[in-house]
Parts: sequence; C-alpha cells; structure tokens
Amino acid sequence: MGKIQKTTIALFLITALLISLTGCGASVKAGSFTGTATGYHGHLGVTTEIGEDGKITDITVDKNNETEGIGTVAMEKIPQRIIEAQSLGVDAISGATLTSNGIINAVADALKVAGADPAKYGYVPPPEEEKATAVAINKDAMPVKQEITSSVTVTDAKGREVAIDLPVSSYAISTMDVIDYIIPLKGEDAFNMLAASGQDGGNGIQKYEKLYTSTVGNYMEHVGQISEHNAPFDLEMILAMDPDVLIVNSAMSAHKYALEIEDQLKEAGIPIVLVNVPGKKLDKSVQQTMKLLGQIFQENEKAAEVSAFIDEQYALIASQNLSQRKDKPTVYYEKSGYSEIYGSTATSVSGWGLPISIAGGENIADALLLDSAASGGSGNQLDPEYVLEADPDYIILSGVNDGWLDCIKETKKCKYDIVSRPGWNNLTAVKNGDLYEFAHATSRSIYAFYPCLKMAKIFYPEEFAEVNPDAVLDEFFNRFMLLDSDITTWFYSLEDSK
Amino acid sequence: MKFQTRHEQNANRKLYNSLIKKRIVLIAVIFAGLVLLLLMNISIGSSSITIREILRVLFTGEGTGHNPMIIMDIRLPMALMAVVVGAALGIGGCEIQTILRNPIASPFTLGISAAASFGAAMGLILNAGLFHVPDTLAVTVNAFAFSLLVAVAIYTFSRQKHIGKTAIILFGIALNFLFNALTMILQYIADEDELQSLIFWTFGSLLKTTWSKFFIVFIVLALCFLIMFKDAWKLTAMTLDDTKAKSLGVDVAKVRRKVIFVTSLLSAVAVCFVGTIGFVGLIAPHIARQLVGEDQRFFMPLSALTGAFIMSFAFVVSKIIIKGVILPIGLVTAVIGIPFFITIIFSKMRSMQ
Repeated sequence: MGKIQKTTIALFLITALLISLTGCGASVKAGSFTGTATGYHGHLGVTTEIGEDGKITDITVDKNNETEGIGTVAMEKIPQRIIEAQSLGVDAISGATLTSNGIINAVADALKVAGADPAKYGYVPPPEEEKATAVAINKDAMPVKQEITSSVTVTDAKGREVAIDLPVSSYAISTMDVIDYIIPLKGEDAFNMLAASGQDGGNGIQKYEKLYTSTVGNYMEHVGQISEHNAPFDLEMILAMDPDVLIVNSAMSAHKYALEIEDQLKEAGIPIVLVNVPGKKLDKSVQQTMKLLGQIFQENEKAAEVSAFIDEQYALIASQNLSQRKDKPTVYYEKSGYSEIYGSTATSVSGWGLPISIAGGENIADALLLDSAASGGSGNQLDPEYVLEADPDYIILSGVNDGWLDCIKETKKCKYDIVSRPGWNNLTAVKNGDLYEFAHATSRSIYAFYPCLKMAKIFYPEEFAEVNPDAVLDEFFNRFMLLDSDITTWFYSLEDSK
Repeated sequence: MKFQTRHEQNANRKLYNSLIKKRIVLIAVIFAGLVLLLLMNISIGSSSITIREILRVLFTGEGTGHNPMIIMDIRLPMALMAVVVGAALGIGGCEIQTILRNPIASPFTLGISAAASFGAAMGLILNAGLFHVPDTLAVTVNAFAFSLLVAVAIYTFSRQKHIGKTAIILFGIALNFLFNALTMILQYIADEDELQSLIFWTFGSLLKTTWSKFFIVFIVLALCFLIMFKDAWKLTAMTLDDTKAKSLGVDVAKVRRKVIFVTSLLSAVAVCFVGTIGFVGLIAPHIARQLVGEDQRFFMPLSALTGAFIMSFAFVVSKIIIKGVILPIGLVTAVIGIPFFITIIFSKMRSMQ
C-alpha cells in the first residue's frame, strides 16, 4: 500500500469521526446560557434561561453601552416579545433597530451554546449585505381599479383646472415624501394605492421602503420608479404603472418636467395635479395641498382636520406678532456647508428662509440677495466676510449631518466642522452655542410647522415658554401618521456634537 | 508614360469593381446591424412588455392597457431619434473633418454644442426665452438659437479672405471657451435644482423625444445629406490639400463655407432636442474612414450609418446597464467613445497626417 493511499484513508477516518462527534451534541440542554452579539455600541451579552421542554423562559440583557432611552426600550421590549412568541422572528423597535437585532442575535448565540438550532425558533441570520436589488414589479399586486362613479374638477397650485375621475384607485407621486400628505387621508391605503414615485437626492424611495414595509407590508412590488433625482419623468414607466392621477410637487423642477409630458399623459387619461410645498406662503401651502388632496381622495373631512391642526400651530406663532417686532434676532442660514466649502443660503422668500421669517428671524441674506439673485432671491452663497461682519445672533443649518429619515440616534454622532472656519469661533452665535440644524427635507414636508415652532421658541424663549414643539410634533404623528415621530432626527444643536 | 494594355485596363476595372462591391457589402452589413439595434431599442424599456405583445402592437396597432402608446409613441420615436441624431452627428463630424483636414474637428470642437448648452442654461437658470415660446419649449429654442448663432459666426468668419482652415478651428475653439465660460457664470448663480437640470441637459438624453421632434431632425438630415452628397466628388478632392483640389477645379473656399453652414445647421438641430452628445461626431468618421477610405460616395453614408449604429448601440447600453434606469445617453457615448478614440490616436492617426 502506497504512502499516499494510507494518508488518504487516515484522513477519511478522521473526518468520519469528526462528523459523528458533532452529531452527538444535538439535544437541547436546560439551564442558563449566555450569548453575545454586536449591538449598536459594541458587544451585547444576554443570559437566556431554557426550560426542560426547550422553551425560552427568561432573557436578561447584561450591562452594556446601548443608548439610554430608545435603546433601553428595546432591551425591555424585545426579550418580552421573544418569550411571548417563543420565537426570534419578532419585529425590531423602530428607531432602535441595531439594538433590537443585537439582542435577537445574542439570544440566538445563547441557544447555540445550549445546543439548540436557532432556526427552529424562527431565527433568520442577518444577511451578509443589505440587498441592493429593487423589488421586482408584480403586475398582479397592482391596485385594483374601481368603477368610475363621478368626477371632480380641482384647481391645483398653479391655478390649472384639472378634472379627475372618482374614486381614485391608484396614484403616482413626483417624490416619495408626497405620500406624507396622503397618509393622514388614507392610512395604510396610501401605500396600497401607490403605483409609482420619483426618486429624490436622498434615495427617498428606499428610505420609505425601509421605514414602512414592516408596518404596511411589501407595497414596493406595485411601485415603479418614474424619475431619477431631478430628472425628466420616465413617460414609459408612468404609462406602464397607469396611475389614476400623477401628483407633482414643485421641488427639483418637477413641475416643468411634468408639463413637458402633459399632452401624452392626457392622451392616456392620466391627469397631472401640481402641488407646491413650500409655496410662497409656507404657513398656507400645506393646508392648500391637504385641501386639494382631500378633494382628489374624497377625504375632505380628514384633510380639514389636518389643516386645522396646522393652522393652530401657525396661529400660535402669529399671535405673538413677531413680524412687527423691532428687536428681531439676526439669522444666517446655510445648506450643506462645512469649513472649507460654503453652502448656499436662502432669503426670506424661499426654502428654509420661509420658516426663519415666520419664526420672526431677521435673515441676513435678505439685504444682499433679495433683489439681486437670479432665481427670485434663492440659492446663493454669501461672501464669508459678510457673514462675519453681520455677526448673526443665530445660525441655522440644514443638510450638514445625517439626512432626512436617517435617525441619528442609531448611526453616528453629529459634527459641526463648519465652526472651524476662520473667524467663526468669535461669532456670537457660535460662542453662545446658538447654531442649530434641522433635518433638511422638513421645510418642504407636511411637518414644516415643526421648525417654525422650534425656531420661534429658540428666538423668543419667553413668548413661547408654554409651547413644546416636540410634543406638538408627537401629537401630530399620533393623530395622523402611521409611525411615531422617531423616523428622523428633526433637530440637532451645537451641544449635541460635544 | 507607358500605356496600359487592354488586358491591364480590364484587370484594373475588375479590381475597382470588386472594391466597390466590397464597400457596398460592408455598408449593407452595418445597415443590417443597425436594423437589429433598432429592434432591440424598441423591445427594451423600463416597463416589461413581452416580445409577442410588441410584435402585436407593431403589426396590428392594438395591445393591452397603455402598451400601444408606450411602443408607438415612446419607444419607436426614441429608437428612431437615436438613429437620426447619430447619423446627423456622424455626417457633421465627417464633413467638418474633411473640409478642415483636421482629425479632431467635430461640431463639438467648433463650439456648437457649447453654445447649445449656454442657450439651454439661459432657459433653465434665468428662465429667459429668446422668443415668446411656451416655457416647455424655451430650452430647446434657446439651444437651437445659440448653436445657430455660432454656426453663423463661424460661417461669417470663414467668408473673410485669407482665412485658412486652421484659423477656423482656432476660432471655433475660442467660441467653445467663451460659451463654456458663460455657462459657468450661469451655473455659479444657479440654485441647486436648476444646476441639476442643466447638468442633466448637458448629459444628453433621448427621453424627451416626440414624433414631431423626430420628423424635424429627420427632414433636416435628409436635406443636408442630399445637399452635401451632390458635392461628393468635390469633397473627395478636398481631402487632398487646397492647391491640388483647386487644380482639379474645386472652388475650395466656397465648398468649405457651404459645408460649414450645412453641418452646423445639422448639428444645431440634433443637439437642441437631445442635449450635448459627445464623441459620436468624432469617432464615427474615423471608423468609417478605416473601412472605406476617403471616397465621399461611401465615406459620407458610412459615417452616417456608423454614427447611427454607435448611437443605437449606446442607447441599448444605456437602458440595460442599470435595470429600470435609462442612463443619459451622452454619458454612455463618452464612456464607450473615449477608449475608441485613444485606440485611433495610437494606431491609425497616420492616415490623417
């Protein structure tokens, strides 16, 4: 017998032995087992008690570094849910996904130590990578068209008369955030009826999918993407998805792109409704949009309810007569700026300038840009020297840290590199810590009342001592939306970066 | 001089005939390829429609839902637009290279695309239309007006006496820089949304094609082609240097002016509807020249065919490279065009020297 043959036989025997040995330890042991997994902040340990019949009887999360508050909620609720369901296939706590998954993974680890197969407890190992491929469109899942019984003619944001057949069974939107105006009217049906959406710069389609699929199911299988970020609409995709109406918000030249294809869409029987948020009057545009959508979706009462709530908030600010004040604080706004690159600012008539002016701030960009800039006074950079010279009382930023719908609590610490600019350490606002950031898309969202209230409270703490903007926001979410207000970090301050 | 025998003359004639035959076969093969690409372009799109359904719509005009509209009014004009724009750019590049005897000349180099971009930028950023046209047409009309302005400027410039072909190219390059700088000024004062729209426009895209736009480009292309094809022999003579062409009885200056005007018009029409699409006008003539040489009777149609082929190919690629997304075609032509161009520079440029 050759040497090689002997070695082969020996190896074969060893392998066989090893396989048979692993088979021996397959039965579940009762007792207390510890397992670990990666949480949000480093390692997470759990002690899991397993009964004689293989049931999970108790789970204790060991001492760890998870975030106080939202992370703690996950540590209480997730073990409770696992024990109740006797399954690891429980939903994560929204806003604390990483902590929730960490606990689930750690319990699975403990089960392995106990000799049990976690898969039998409904455990799905975390995927290696997040799947990047989009859900394929399933034609059978498309919203079912109801019989047309009547029609309505609405006047849209551009004063166009648009006739729409009722009831509307499916709709398309220019960007995903428009659905936030439809959720209060239709609830989960807002997603069931959605046939198509355009993309925005922050991958809104995917963000909403991540946030909402666990609540409303896999709605993406009937949602087509009808435009890239700030690009013309894909007419073919719109026709293929065949929505009853296309609702277009004014951001990113979408109005212009929509009107370019209006003739073809008209021929196919798909009306275009233009909405405008933020319009020239931010304190009115959300309500106007709600009214319009209320008519389209035959939910006038609900629309009126939302409008009333928002009216109340703006009335609260208006009651203080901030625009008449002589002692207005000076404010500088900047988008996506950091120390080396100056971002663009906005005057009182556009974008983030609108909430600043409603909240009674004196925008330092107005004096320079209001009459001179190309596009109605928006979107220009200021001379760095001018900002230093003006020495604003407050600096408001957007688009610097995590984007819209990226909850910072579970990702990274916010940073303000912008204060490293030459001379900025001596600015009154920076010295006093009066540099704040709002989640960028808020100004053109249905939640635009929040930055208005929040800024008003920051600028005039005495007048708004009784007002709690965050509680108002929570109430809005509780009454009208499907999820809680923890879908994004709405507001950061210079303090948060320390 | 030694006279050829009758036998030798026959042999030469045979050789010539077989050469012509080869070229005709070549053109037929590329034409067949183009038709194949055209069919692919009709069958690929963001909504998944089966081949059977497509054939049904194409032949009977009927289909389920909006499918007939998708195929007949969106895919078909877009696929055909790729063909005519490619052909227009191919011919434009071919003739400009011929009359200026310069291998890098193209509508791009002469500033026509830069001027079109500036016109588009004016429409998008300043919301200013040159004429009182509806908002949705302002960008196209501006782009056309400015590219025509450059065409006229180059034409006027080339009319002067003692202006040689090098001076024309330098003048074009100067205009190119001028309009780029003007566009940048507009970009500087633009806000982000407008900037994005402009960038999208400069990428070049077939998405906005309609039947009427297609017919405009098609008619202009057909007319320009006929006008220039009539001068095929003169243009072939002009591939020699000016003195030799003159000695063959060609009014060099006149042909040059005429061709500059016609090709500029052609490029202006192509560019204003689809945005700036680079490299097709540069590469297509080079490929055509490698295949059939400088004989304009073949060179010109083949440049058009090659241009159409490249555009159609790029359009197919732009639709399948990312699923569900139609990449702007100008990006694709640039990406597949540059390696081609470098290869040409390194291996074949001798023929132009």
